[in-house]
Amino acid sequence: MRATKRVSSRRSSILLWIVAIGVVLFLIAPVTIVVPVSFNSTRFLEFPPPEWSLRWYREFLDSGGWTASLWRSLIVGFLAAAIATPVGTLAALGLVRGRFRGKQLIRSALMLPLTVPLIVLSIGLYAVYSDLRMIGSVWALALAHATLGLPFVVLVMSGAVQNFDETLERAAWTLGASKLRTFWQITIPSLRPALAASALFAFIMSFDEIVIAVFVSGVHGETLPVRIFSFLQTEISPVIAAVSTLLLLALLSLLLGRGMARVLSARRSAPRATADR
Amino acid sequence: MVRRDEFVLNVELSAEPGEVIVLLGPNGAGKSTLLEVLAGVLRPDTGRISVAGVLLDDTARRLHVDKARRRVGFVVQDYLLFPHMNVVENVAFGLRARGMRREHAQSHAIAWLERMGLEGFERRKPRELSGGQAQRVALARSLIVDPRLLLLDEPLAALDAGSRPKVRAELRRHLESYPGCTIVVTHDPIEAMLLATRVVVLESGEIVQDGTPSELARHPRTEYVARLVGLNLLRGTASGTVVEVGPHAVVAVAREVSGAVYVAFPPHAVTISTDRPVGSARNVWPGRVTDVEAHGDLVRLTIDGTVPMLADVTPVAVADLGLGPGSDVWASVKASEVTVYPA
Repeated sequence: MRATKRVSSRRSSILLWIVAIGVVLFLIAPVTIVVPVSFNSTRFLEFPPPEWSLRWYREFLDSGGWTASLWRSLIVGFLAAAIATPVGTLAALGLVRGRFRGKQLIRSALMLPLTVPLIVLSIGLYAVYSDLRMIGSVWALALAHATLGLPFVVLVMSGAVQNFDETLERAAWTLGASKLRTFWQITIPSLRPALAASALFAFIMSFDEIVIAVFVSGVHGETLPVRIFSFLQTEISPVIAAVSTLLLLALLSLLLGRGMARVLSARRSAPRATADR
Repeated sequence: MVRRDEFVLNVELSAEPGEVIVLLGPNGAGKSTLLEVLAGVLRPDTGRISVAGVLLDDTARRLHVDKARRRVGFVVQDYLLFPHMNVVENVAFGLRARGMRREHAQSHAIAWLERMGLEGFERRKPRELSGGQAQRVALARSLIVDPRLLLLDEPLAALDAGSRPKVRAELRRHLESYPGCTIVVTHDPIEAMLLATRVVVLESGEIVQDGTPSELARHPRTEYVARLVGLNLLRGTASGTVVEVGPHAVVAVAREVSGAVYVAFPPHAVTISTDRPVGSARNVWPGRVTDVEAHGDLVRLTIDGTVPMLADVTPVAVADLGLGPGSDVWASVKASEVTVYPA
């Protein structure tokens, strides 16, 4: 009995590995094509590349259009994160700690951007922004993206606020600290890891959002995803592969940076209580 | 007075500077609630609180000094050091909150840490401290702002049993050098006896006993305190050298008293026999053993009868008499072993 069980569990673990590797390959496969193609010397999306070259990277960096749209995406992403993070954090504080009527309603309302189809949202935003003559404005797009990031911030921060020990605030108060001082020096520092995660979420959410951006960014306000999309409609060139590779690199370094920071902070706290008692 | 749903805390207490008052009481007696009211975390429903001549609460005049401006030090069971700050920053926090410049506040904090025997720990984070060290940091953090009143809620409960005696001795030393009044909450009688200059016993929101530790140990006034200090306690009416503690139950005492009194005797003063004894003991009561358990190197019997009591007997006696739950016995106590004091 026991032997067969062990065999079958080994068999199922092998199966698990095969499936897992399959999924990872499926997810990575496009990358393994896109990255080599970006170093292609020809004008076509040829794979494998007949000759290696960095010409498409130069094309990307030299053309004002590409770099401008990259900058715009970065600015919109930063603004969206800068709006969504504080707003979502305050909302989370209110939702977790407050006791008032209609709390559940407000929580559901804050989660709406997750469920409303993007296309519906986009059409609505387009109508409103064109009335306000805000089509193409970086701020208008950032505001729309902040709305999308908000549910994530609220979810992440609600968890963090729930885990935060409120008696720490009480300790600060009884030591003579004002509510404001306590908030900045005790509450916020304790929420810092969650704040960083929320901001990162909100930024990435905005950075690769395209549906709303297509509607709201207008002719002169293209973000990077919009430019890639419209570029692909007229021509196919390895510059797209170069852009994708750069984006991949940027996101990977962002995530790696976060991981590194976590490892470093864990190591800093490692020398524990050596001269104890 | 504080009301909270069914629970009512009704306490009148005044203390002298330098006193260490230990609040003793069973869980839910309102000890921690009392501290929270004093610290200003909870507002009393009716009442007045004044500390060192400063009125902090007076419901009749709708006066309530905010917790941040009371200057009442409050150290709780898990110390609540700020985890993202190092030891010096934690201790300096109160001074910084009062607007003192960083370097100034930190040099004060370092001086306090030295006083607490914590040199070399300045840059440690709270998670790198042992329980006893964390407690001293919390104490320094509260004392540095020169509080009018110091409140300690179960200061030793978070420590492991091994380090408790040492930390308790240190705490006692620090409290002796603090000029203001300290109120310590605990439910550990040893802690109360060692730290207190005065013990206040709180039960279901009321003060039931208030006195020095030795008074408490000799003359308990409630069943709870009697159990803590290890005495059998009875209440009755005395006339002459006899106290009537219940219907058909009298206790003979060694001196003449009258009126309402408490009668106390230790469990080890009880002698157990299976036949009615014929000795000099005047206090002899029939009863039935309901529980038998080990108590140190003796055996503790719970006896139910006209006078319910605890009795400590030797294992030899238990074996010789064949005692067990349900055994009918005679319990006797010498009158000279019985303490009697007015209720």
